[in-house]
Amino acid sequence: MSTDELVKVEDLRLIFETLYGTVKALSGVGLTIRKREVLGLIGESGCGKTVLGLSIIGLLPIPPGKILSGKIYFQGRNLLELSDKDMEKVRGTGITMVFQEPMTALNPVFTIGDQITESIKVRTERSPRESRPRKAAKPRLHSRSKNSWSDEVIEALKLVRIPDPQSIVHRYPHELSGGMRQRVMTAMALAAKPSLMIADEPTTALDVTTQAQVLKLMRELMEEVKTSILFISHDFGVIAEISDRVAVMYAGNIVEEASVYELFESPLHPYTQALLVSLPSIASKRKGLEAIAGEVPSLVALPPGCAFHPRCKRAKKECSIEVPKLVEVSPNHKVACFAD
Amino acid sequence: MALAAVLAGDKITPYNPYQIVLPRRLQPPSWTHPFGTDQLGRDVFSRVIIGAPIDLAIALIVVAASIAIGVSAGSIGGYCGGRADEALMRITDVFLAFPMVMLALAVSMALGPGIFQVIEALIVVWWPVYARTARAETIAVRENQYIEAARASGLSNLAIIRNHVVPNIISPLLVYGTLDLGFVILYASVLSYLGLGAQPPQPEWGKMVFDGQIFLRSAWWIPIIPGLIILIVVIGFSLFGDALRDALDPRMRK
Amino acid sequence: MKELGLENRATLSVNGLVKHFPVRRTFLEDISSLIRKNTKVVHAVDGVSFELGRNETLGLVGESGCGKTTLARTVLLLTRPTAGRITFEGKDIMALKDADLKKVRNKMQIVFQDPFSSLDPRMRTKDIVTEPLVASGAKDKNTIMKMAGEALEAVGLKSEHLDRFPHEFSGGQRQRIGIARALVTKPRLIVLDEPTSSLDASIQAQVLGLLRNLQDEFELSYLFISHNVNVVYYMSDRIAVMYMGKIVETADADDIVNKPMHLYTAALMSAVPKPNPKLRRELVEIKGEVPSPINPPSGCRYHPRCPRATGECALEEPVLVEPGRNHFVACYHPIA
Repeated sequence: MSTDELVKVEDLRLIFETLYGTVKALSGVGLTIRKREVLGLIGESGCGKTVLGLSIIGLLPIPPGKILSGKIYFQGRNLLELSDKDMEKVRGTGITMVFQEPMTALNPVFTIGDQITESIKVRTERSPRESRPRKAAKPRLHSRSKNSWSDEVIEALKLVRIPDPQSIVHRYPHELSGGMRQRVMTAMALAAKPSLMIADEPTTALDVTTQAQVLKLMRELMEEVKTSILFISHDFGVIAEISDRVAVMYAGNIVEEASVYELFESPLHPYTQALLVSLPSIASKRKGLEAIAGEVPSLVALPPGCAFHPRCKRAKKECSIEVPKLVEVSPNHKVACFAD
Repeated sequence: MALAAVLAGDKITPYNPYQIVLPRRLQPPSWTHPFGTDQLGRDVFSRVIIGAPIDLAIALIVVAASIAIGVSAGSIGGYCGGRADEALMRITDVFLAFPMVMLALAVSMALGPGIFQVIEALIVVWWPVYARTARAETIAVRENQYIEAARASGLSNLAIIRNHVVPNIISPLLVYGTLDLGFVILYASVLSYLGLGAQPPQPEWGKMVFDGQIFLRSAWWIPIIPGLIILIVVIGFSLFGDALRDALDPRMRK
Repeated sequence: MKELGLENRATLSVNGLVKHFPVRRTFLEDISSLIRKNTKVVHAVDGVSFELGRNETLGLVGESGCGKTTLARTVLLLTRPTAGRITFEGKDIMALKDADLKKVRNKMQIVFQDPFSSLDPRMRTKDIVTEPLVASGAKDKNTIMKMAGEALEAVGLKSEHLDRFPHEFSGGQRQRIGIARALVTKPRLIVLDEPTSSLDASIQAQVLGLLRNLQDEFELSYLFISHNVNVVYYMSDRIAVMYMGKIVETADADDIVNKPMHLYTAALMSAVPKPNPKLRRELVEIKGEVPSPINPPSGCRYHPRCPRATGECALEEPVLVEPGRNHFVACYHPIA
């Protein structure tokens, strides 16, 4: 791992055994996240992007999930080789996560202050807790610790630009709006000053204007806290707004990886190209959109070779035989395709 | 299995279940009398078989009627909300406030002894639970967009309840119902045991257990075997209920 | 630009539509509010007017709580309006008797958002698609089946699909079934409530393309409601922007996006993420959060969050004026 690489995923293969068959969630995924960057991970539903995020932070339920092979390096260590206890230490301090539905990720019976306090405690005490506060034990707050924690809590809230943090500390999640709750979640994720924050569709449930504010906030915070963000989304617009680099996923594989400008300017993979052309946007004319024929394949019944080849206009013979590997075709631009 | 017994019932009784043959009384199970004979010389096996349709009929009628009443009331209340719903809730509250056994007893005593009275009493006791469950399911189903779509198509409320709500709530109710078949038999047995249901010489399983309990030490087969039969039937019904639920779900059909 | 219908009267004309919901409280609070005569009300839709012509798409955008979903339901009389007038093909539909209303319902249909809950999982496709016909009194089975088959084919499915259950189809296909159901009564107007919001990006384009083709083929009027501005822009000829139960601006689609006059519209357009990193724009300022629809702000509802607000904005509500051709805005300090 070179010095500016924070996370390196190598050839990760992951399956789920279900009643309907073996779900090949990840089929040899390779990914790099650098320090102080926002890597956007984009794909449609079912492509495996959430699974990838959960694997990195180690929150994947292991039965029914099963990692077949691969490595996940974080700061030089292979996370898959760590014991549960060691992984718990990484979680919440080195890597944190923000989820899509702030209402379900925040515990409704604890105040905002309590929940942020918990995240801070995790960092300082390194006690075994999951990064999802919902399942964690009750924080013990007697008057002395309430005072000594509360400064940091207020700071965390100020960091995410929540107005009037002094009163918010005493509120419960249901008293806040969606946007505020997402800020609180972000505050909790960043209170521990992690090296990597994984954000899984954090703005999908928010209104457009709120989303814009939260995205702006995330970018600013990234600079201030000096963290990296793995931003998972299905929305190309959001990815374009916030990412430095982008990785495109399809049916359990990364098919393209490039800087955000280059991806949108000259996409190389047929899937990326087709997808970009099929998106309506206020920035383009209202002429016809080109839809991609066919449907996303089920992860239980993947086509042989390249998963996209049945829908690909440029498919060649080899596309149905072998799975293309991710190779660097131009500086910092990787594609997994034979039809170049 | 129980169904087979019911159907075959009349034909395969080797002995007249009512025939009192005193010299043959209290014989243990043997080849000629697989379940033995009771204190009046009657063949237990035959009595059990003849008792089957009685108990099953009671169970089926009670459950079917309770579901019918409960679903109607519950779905209408749940769908319409407002005062109809409030009324339904209060009425069921009243019924559910009493322990079921007590209520069954009370109604039964008011109606007097006899099988039909038992059936009526049990229906009265049973329907509120179904109504509540139906109502809860209706409220969940009501939020679906296909209900809105039906309203947009111009369907009347009653038609919507009949065509859309009921088919979607019926599955868990039927499973619950088949489980209950066993319990109804238990309750009917209790009532008979207490003298309120079947009257002699009708061979109802509960009654047989009651009548036979004095022989528990000496001729154990008289109370124990009907009791075991009740147990087997109850278990059988619950397994049947599980299978029924799986079969009913169109999602499970391949 | 598409040719707009040249009839004198619009297909759908909505005037001053109001829909208030009573706030559900506990029994005791209900009594107390009755005594004090201060029943609290959710101002979901508070005086909305617009027109929609033949073969035209009017897009309705807004964020959560703006009332667009309620408006969709109210226009179709799925819920009874509190006040206002709805005129469809020249007739005031609120004044119609049941039998006449049924006939009109056939001409006004709706497509819902969720392909999973908008189809009854226990009904076969043929029953789902024919339901509007049966509900409006059609009796002849052969004709009904024929129309169902035609509707399915129009959306790109096959008549052999009629016997299948919803769960046997993918999300995109189920949405097509929903569209077929809306088409089967040969409507003039279809209200589309977030029809592609639950679909994947690659399927969305298919369905949008289908909707456009259907519009051309059958000369349909669409009321297209969505929070996704990109999609609304693509589909609509004209766009109306809603905020807190009111329409704040209406104009041609291009003008709304490129020359917005209302500060909210401008903020909204600048906040929409565009799939092109070079177009990252500075946000037009928007302060605070959306207020509660139970207690809307006085005067212009947007004034607490507006960077241009002055004293008069808090006093009286601005009415819709027409500073540009076909461009209406309700604001005291519009962007020139």
